[in-house]
Amino acid sequence: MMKNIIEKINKLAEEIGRNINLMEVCGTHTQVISRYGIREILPKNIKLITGPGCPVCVTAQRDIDAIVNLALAGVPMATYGDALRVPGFFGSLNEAREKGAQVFDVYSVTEAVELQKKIPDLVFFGLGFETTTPMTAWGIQQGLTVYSAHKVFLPAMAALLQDKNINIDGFIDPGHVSVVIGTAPYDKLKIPQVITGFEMEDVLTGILLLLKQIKNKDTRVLNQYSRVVKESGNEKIQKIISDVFEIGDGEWRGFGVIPKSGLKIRKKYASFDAKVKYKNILDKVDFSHSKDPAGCRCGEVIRGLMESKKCPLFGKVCTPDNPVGPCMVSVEGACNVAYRYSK
Amino acid sequence: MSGRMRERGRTINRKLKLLVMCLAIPGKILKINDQLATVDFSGIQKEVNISLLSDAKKGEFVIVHAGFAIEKIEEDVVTDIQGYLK
Repeated sequence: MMKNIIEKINKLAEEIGRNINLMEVCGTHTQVISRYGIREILPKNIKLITGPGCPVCVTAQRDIDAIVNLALAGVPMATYGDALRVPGFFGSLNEAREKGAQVFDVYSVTEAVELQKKIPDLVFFGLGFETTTPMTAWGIQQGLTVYSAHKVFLPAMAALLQDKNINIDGFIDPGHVSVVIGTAPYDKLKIPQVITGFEMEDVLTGILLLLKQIKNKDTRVLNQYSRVVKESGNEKIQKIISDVFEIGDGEWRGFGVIPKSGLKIRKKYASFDAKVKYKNILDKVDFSHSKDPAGCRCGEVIRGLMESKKCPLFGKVCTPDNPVGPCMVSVEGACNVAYRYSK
Repeated sequence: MSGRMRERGRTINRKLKLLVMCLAIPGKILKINDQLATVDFSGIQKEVNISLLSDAKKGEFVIVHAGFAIEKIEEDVVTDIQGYLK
C-alpha cells in the first residue's frame, strides 16, 4: 500500500515537472515527517516546509516578557511545560522560579483549575491555537484567571500566502485545529489543501492528494481525516470559545501583528483577565527589548523562510538543553525536531 | 512473533511516545464520572476531561489533547478521497 502511494507520488511529481513547496503547519505532522524520514523519500522537486504550527514558537516575545514580569512581581503563574523554558529579555519562567517566583508546570487546564483552589491568585498563561484555546476558555468559565496569548490559526496561513518571500503550492492543514473549526473555513484560502491523520501512510496520502490537485489545477480542501474532522467542526467547542473570547489583533513571533488573529478575553470575564487585573504591573514593564534573542532566526524558521539547520546557531550554541529561541525549546518546534531526528 | 504482532508493538510504542509528549492521541473511554472520564491509551489509563464533547459514552474512542477529549473518532468517510484518487 505504502509502496503504491510512493510510486504514485513519484509519477505525479514527474508529470508536474517543476519545484513544488508543500507546507505543514502542525507540530505533530512536523514530528511524524521527521521521524519517518518522509522528506528523504520524496522526489527531489517536492519540498516539505515546516510552517508556524508550534504554539510556543509563535508566541510573541512581548508576551513572554509580560508573564515573566508578572511572576517576578509575585503573581503565581501556571502553564504548559514547554512555555516555562522560553527565554525572554527578563529570562524564562523557569529562571524566575529560580529567583523565588511561584511558577507551576501543568499538563492540563483541569490541573490549573484544581491548583487555583489552593492558590487563589494563580494566573494561567494560555497560549496556542484552536487546540488549546477551548481548554483555557473552559478554565475561565470555571473561574480561572488567564493571561491570554491565544491565536486564531487561519490568518497566519493567509499571511503566508501573501508573503512574497515564499511560494507555497499546497498546505497540509493542521489536523487538530481542524477538529475544532471544521473543514469549511479553509475554503477561502484558494490553494490546494488536505486534512490528514498522523501515521506515515496518512501523511503520504495527504501529499499525494495535494500533488493530484496541483496537477489538475484544483483548489480543494480534501479531508482524509474524516474519522475525526467534521465539516462543521466541534460546535460545542466553538460556542465555548466565543462565549469567552473575542477576536482582536494578535502578535506573532516572526510575523509581527496579524489583524484579527488574536483572542482577547471578553469584558464579561474581565475579572479573570490577567491583563486587566494586573494592568498596573504590566504598564511598568519595559518592552523595548522584547525581540528575538541576538542571532536567533526563529522568526524566519516559523515562516518557512529558513531551514533550522541553516541557522548559524543550530546545534552549536543552540540545543534542546540550552535553547536560544523557542523553536529549539518546544518538542513541536522545527529546530527541536530537526535536532532530535538528525542524531 | 508474527509480523502483525510486531507491527502492533511498533504502533503501541509510537502511541506511548506521543503520550509522553502530550500530543493529541486516541483512547477508549472506560468509565465516566461527571466531567472526567477514565481513558485507556493502549494499556495506560489517564483521567481525561470530557466537558468539550456534547455527548460521550463508555466504549467510545476519543482524540485527547492537553488532558481534554476534543472529538469522538468515527468510521472513516473516505469515499470522496477514494473517488479523487482514481
